[in-house]
Amino acid sequence: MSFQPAQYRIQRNPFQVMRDVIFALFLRELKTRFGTYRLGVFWALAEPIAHVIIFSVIFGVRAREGFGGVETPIFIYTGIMPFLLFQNLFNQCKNACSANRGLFHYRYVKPINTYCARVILEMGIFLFTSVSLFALFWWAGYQVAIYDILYCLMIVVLLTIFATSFGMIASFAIEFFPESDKFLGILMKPMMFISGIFFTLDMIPEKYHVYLIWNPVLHAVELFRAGFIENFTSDHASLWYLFCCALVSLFIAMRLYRMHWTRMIAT
Amino acid sequence: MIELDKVTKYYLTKLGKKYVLRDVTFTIPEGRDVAILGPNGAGKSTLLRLLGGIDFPNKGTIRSNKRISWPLALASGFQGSMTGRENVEFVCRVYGNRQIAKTCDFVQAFSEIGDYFELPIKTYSSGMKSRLAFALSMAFDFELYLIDEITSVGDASFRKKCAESMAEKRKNANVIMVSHDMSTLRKQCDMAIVLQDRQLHFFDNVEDGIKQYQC
Repeated sequence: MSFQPAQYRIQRNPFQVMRDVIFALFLRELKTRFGTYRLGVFWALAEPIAHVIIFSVIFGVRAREGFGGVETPIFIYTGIMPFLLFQNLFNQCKNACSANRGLFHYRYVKPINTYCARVILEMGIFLFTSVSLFALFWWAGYQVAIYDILYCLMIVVLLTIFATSFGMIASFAIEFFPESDKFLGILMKPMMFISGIFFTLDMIPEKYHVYLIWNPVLHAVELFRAGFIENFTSDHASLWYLFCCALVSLFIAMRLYRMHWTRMIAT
Repeated sequence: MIELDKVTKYYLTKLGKKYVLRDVTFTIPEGRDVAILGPNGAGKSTLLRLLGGIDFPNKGTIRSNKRISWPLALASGFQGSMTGRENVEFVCRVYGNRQIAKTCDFVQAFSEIGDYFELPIKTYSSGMKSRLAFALSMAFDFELYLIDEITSVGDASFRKKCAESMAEKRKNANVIMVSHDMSTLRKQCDMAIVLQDRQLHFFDNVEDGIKQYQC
């Protein structure tokens, strides 16, 4: 056995260790998500496409001329993309540690790395599916143009911070009180219907706004639309509110992590 | 050298806190091969995990200046849905081994599992799993190996190979070993720690430790 691994070893600083671990986890996530199915990456596209088609059929009949100045499928698209980003990030971060628990067997693998790897993967899937659907719309002859791409990206970043933090908080809540998983499941059920995917806040009578306006995802969706569609303005959505939600949830998530991260590893 | 400073470790159960270690201050000296002895359920594996940095004390600190292996147990630390190769690649990346292909070849050859290497770990028998685990740990050179009852892996010829390979490693490395097989401990170790009454007791040779543990 002349195998001598010592010569391959390199000195790494903590930042390089973290980068290596996140990369390893990222590849692992990528393989388990897409490697095991025959159609692989197609399934990442199938979900938003199915949503756009189903909602367009249901709501397009009523509003044949389109919502908010664009054709119905484009309108649904600008709603479902940020919403799916939120939903996937939340679920992935919520289960990041429990799904990777076996890998904490290697001392360099820390819980924060599993969150990071999943966020990077979800961001990648979001960009890939968004661009692919955009191209599909263009190919199908729809009028598509992004009005203010930097504004859209800013909303995506804020939404990512919020969803990730919320998911991390949820993962700790489940660690402390396993029942909270059931509660969160119920809480997330109606999210798709109250996050403005197939309506704008202007279509809802003013007196109901007070219930819906608390939902940060609704703000993100409206603001994303405002950046995407040229003549779309949202009188009610507030960038300031979304920013505060992202910052506060990030603070809580980081505080919980600092205090309790070892509990995620312990068996 | 591993220093434990006022280390307390407990598990929360329905019956209250179950202590494994209580306010333990202890130094495991450099260059010694340590046998860890203790009754079932005393927390020997937990101690090993604490030393390996994959579990953490509730109070106190554990410091070390060594490259310590993951605890080499019978079959843990593998992700069942990933193939043997993917698991090995993962560990290489995590530990900063840049020669991934070479390491994979070595592990595949050493573990003698053939083309099962390309199949998910969950399809492995427990013997194959532990052979892969042992082969993987032999592909890295640590300064301190934590060994949890893994000495009896596979058939006679594989065991012989393991012993040879381990002896090679032992030239530059030490072991901390948990086992219920006293002859293995006598052969491999030159000091003993008995984990009893939530404290660690030091014995300068294995025989005294075994005597204390068996009485």
